[in-house]
Amino acid sequence: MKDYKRKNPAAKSLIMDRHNSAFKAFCQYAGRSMLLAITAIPTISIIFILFFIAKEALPFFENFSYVKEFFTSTAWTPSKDADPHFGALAIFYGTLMVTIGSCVIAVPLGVIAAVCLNEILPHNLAQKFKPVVELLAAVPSVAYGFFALVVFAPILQNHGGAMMSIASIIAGLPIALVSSVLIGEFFAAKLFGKKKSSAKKIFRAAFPCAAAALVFWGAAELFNVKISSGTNALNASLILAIMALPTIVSISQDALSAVGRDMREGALALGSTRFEAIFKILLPCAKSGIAVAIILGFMRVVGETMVVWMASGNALKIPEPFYNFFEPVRTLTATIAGEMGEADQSTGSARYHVLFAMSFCLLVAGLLMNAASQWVGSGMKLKKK
Amino acid sequence: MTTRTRKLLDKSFTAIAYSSLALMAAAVAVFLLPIIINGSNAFIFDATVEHEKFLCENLDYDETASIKERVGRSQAARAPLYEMFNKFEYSGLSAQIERSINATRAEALKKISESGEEMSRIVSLPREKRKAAADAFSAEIWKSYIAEVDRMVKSAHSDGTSFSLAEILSLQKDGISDLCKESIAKAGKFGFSQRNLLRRALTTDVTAILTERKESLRRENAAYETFKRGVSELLGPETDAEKESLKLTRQKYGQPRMDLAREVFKNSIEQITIHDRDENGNEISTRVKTEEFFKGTPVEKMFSYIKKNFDAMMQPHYTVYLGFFFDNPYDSNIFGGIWPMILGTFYLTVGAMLIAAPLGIIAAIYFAEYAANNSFVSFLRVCVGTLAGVPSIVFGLFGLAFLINTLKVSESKSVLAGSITLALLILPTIIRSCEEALKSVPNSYREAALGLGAGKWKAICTVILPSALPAMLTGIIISMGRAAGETAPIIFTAATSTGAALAITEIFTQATPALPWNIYNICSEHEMAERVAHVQYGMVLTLIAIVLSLNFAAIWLRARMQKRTRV
Amino acid sequence: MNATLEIEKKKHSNIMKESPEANPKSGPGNIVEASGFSVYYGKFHAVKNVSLGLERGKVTAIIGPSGCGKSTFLRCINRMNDLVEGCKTTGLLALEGIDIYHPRLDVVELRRRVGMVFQRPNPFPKSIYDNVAYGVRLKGAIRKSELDDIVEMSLRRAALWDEVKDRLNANAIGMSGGQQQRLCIARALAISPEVLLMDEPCSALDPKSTARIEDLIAELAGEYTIAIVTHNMQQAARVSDFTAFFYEGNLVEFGETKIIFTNPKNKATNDYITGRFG
Repeated sequence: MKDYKRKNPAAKSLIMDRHNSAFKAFCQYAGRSMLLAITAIPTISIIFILFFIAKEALPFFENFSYVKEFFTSTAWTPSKDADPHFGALAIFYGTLMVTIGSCVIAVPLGVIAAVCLNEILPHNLAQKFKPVVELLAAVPSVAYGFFALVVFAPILQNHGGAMMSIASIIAGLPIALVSSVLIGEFFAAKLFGKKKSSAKKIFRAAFPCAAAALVFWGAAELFNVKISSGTNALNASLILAIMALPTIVSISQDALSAVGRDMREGALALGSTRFEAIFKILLPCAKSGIAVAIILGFMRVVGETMVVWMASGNALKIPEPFYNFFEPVRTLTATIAGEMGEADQSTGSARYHVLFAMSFCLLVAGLLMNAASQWVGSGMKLKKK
Repeated sequence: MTTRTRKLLDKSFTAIAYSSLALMAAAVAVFLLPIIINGSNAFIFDATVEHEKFLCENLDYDETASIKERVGRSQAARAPLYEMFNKFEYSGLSAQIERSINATRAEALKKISESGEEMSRIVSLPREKRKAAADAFSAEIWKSYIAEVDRMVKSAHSDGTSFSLAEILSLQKDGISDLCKESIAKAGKFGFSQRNLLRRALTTDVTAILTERKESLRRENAAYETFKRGVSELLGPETDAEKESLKLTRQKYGQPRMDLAREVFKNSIEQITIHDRDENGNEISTRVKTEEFFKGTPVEKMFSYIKKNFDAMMQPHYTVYLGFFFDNPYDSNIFGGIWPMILGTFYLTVGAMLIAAPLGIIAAIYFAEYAANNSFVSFLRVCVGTLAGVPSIVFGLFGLAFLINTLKVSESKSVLAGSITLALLILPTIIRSCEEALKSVPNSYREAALGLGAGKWKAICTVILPSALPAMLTGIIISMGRAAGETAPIIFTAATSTGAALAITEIFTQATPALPWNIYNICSEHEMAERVAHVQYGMVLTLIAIVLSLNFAAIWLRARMQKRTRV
Repeated sequence: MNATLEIEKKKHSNIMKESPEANPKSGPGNIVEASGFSVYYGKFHAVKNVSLGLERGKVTAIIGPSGCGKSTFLRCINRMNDLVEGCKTTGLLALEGIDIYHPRLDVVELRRRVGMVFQRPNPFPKSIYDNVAYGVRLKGAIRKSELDDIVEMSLRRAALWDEVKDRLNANAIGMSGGQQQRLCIARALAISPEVLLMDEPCSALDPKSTARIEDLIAELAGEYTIAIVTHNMQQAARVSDFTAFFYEGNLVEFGETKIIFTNPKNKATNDYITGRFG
């Protein structure tokens, strides 16, 4: 080595001496560990969030009678000094209700919109439509809440019945007609076989007529519905659905566009209509991505605070009957946001702890859904490989 | 299934799909249009002279000649009205009350005389010899009642004030009931059924008339008060001395906006609300038309004067009030602008950005350039995803429990605590978008830089980061918009509903008003929500404008980037 | 359906008159017939004024260098190019005398009659059975035994039955590339098309699988009209009855395979098949 160095002085710069090399290695090591430390911040945050929320929730969960009441009773008087009640059943139910309501609206709409953007609309038009989706995603939740409370609630309260009936006609009529035609076709084929006859024609025509009549009858019934309060589960569900839409649309669209062009061509070359290609091939191919989209949309709905706080009416009871979306409800997030301001924040009253217990439930639900989405998503990636 | 049915399905599905997009676009339009239209109304509106008076007196706006002229003109138009009020105050209403009381008295006397006659008739029927006694009795009632009422009316006059009317009337009622008791006692010698008849005659009828009269007087009085309050709500107090004595800014000035002024005119002047109580003591309010209710009184004249000279008194003037964004609010946002909220949002957003952007970029560099493909790194990645899935309200509680109660970064809520909380919230988004940006840098850049003898870190700093920068900026700007609009994390960590704009040194210790929180507050917890509707819309428009302009900046940046890479 | 597919005779005859070079092979035996047919992608003229016919029951190979428009032409026969934005056609392309680009043409029905096998095997992520049954089921409910027969027959024809008969319910994704491609052929055969288009069916396969596919093509010839696009000259020579040589969007030469490969008229054809360019 020494000889080599002497003979070839230029090599000096290539081979570092031991000291220098150790220094450089140390620098690299230190730099990398610093990078790693910063990269670990989200991990540390998650651990800290779990720890601190659990820590503040623990005093509540230690009392077993409270916990039983928490999940089974609807009596909620946490502010009373003597004999407070912490029955959060109505609150859990309200959360469930608006979540289901908004998903029922947002999931079909979002998936169909994603299909339309990816499969039906020409690419340049779909590109032009993208800012609309991004705009819906960017609007702050409090602005949606404001819209729900100030603009939409009065309209819903005063013209709710008319709005519902128009909406049911617009949404229900095409679906009812199409499905009734299909059902009619099915039974006609069973009853009359393949021959053409006027009886068969009349039989087939009867189905869509009946379906249309049914829809109009339902709409007329809805027209007379009186809505006592504009801030109710329906209002919150609708606005939450609009909030969840962009998440569902954009992630489903990604999932659909990840399905190869060859699947599309293969399906069409076998003589499928576009509808059949989409429903029989593309959607099943993209199903795990769409599932992730739905879970993430679901998470956005469950974790949303401002909209439900402003739009749901915050009534502490389970609606009568339990599927009545015209009644005000109350959700976990709204309860936390509304009551934490009144609870004693520094010393830690029972009310303070019960609100942390609620947020612990929220957090656990969020983590579980997140895990589910990662699991489903990883399944998707494996399949692609 | 026939081909026809399949085609039908295909077509109807296409139609449904298109309509789903149309529905989304319609949702955007339905959502944005009212906010844009009503929101711009917050700073472009038909102002009254009161608006300018307020600005000049409280916010040091220049009192230009045209403003002075308009103030003068409005004062000239208002002078006759004030005069009418003052005159009416001292003669009009008291004369009215006198007239009413006289009418009451006459009616009461008539009723009593009737009942007296009735009584006599009853008395005379069974026994002839009690006629004289009954005569004497009724005469006595007459005399004492007249004396009593006269005394009361006199005492009312001697006080000079007409507003103790209710008291007078209650006295009257007591007086009557005394009389009744007395007369019933005297009628002891009559038979039981006759006594009852007498009692009914005296108590029911007379008291009913008096009560009714009293009610109508009280109503008139209350209506006049309501009317007067409406006028002062519209125009503000008459003199400076009166203005000084009032505490709230909303009482010191009339309506600053023509739309509000018209609203006040319609609800509190043209029609007035009178609050009554029904027999169960529940409050019921009735609305009456001023013109009909006060027919024939001086109030009718005042009303027609206001109606005729409305514009002259208010001096409407179309104005663009940019101060809405830069002035402090007065009297819970009824006057002034929304500067502290804008500034608070700015502090919180920039603070969150300053914390999250460097951390996010560094973490992204680690993930994209250094991280090995092992389970530890994938655990770190999972945690980033998990952090993104934590509900925003939980971040708020975490900020409260950890940053404020445990770490004590500040005594109570502060901009610093809020910024840290928001930074944690947007960190995952930043990490993801920056990682994507770094991964989209072609590998050849990396190889070229390393091949030229740059160290890894040097290659990252000089070649990879600059070429990934626009894409990274896009992600950062979008998450900045998210931070600006988030409400739930700052409720318990940074936001306060009222407060002045903070100086830069105060951000470590003080809570601040911020647009998202104040929008909630002004919609849900404001005591006069209908009077600040324009401010509500204005705030929402401002917030949406901030967030959307950030987003459009990001979209523009992305589009430019795509163009550049395409070339 | 035939009523809607009816060709506008006038248009047809006009084009026939205008087309500068009448197709020498055009005759009653041609199932697919192009005359003066051009394709544009936006402003790019991808296929220029091509006239040729695919004879019923024969294998026609389309050869030419990359980007010469041969795939484009093939994909026009079952209107697969409708998926490409900005794709326009002029001239006439007819299936049994019916204009394929007729505005009222039933594309779905057309594609049932003109099947296609793609460059890369694209089985659906379903079971092998479901893949083959997919096209049959589109037509509506069918008895299980009948469907079983169709599936078995299609798989036998595609020379795949013996390999997969024990695992018909296994996912098609797990098969080898060659098997997948034969599955795609079986899938196309299941709806009994008249014409089978093959767009470089062997380019993603190993030589052994390629040989099997080639055997398969030879077996299917006669029963089906097959058009195959290929880069592989030997393959064209081996499997086809007729060969068309495309160059820069033009049909340079078309004729019986034997003649084209032994005695090409055009110099460009000669250069290409002897490997001077391409």
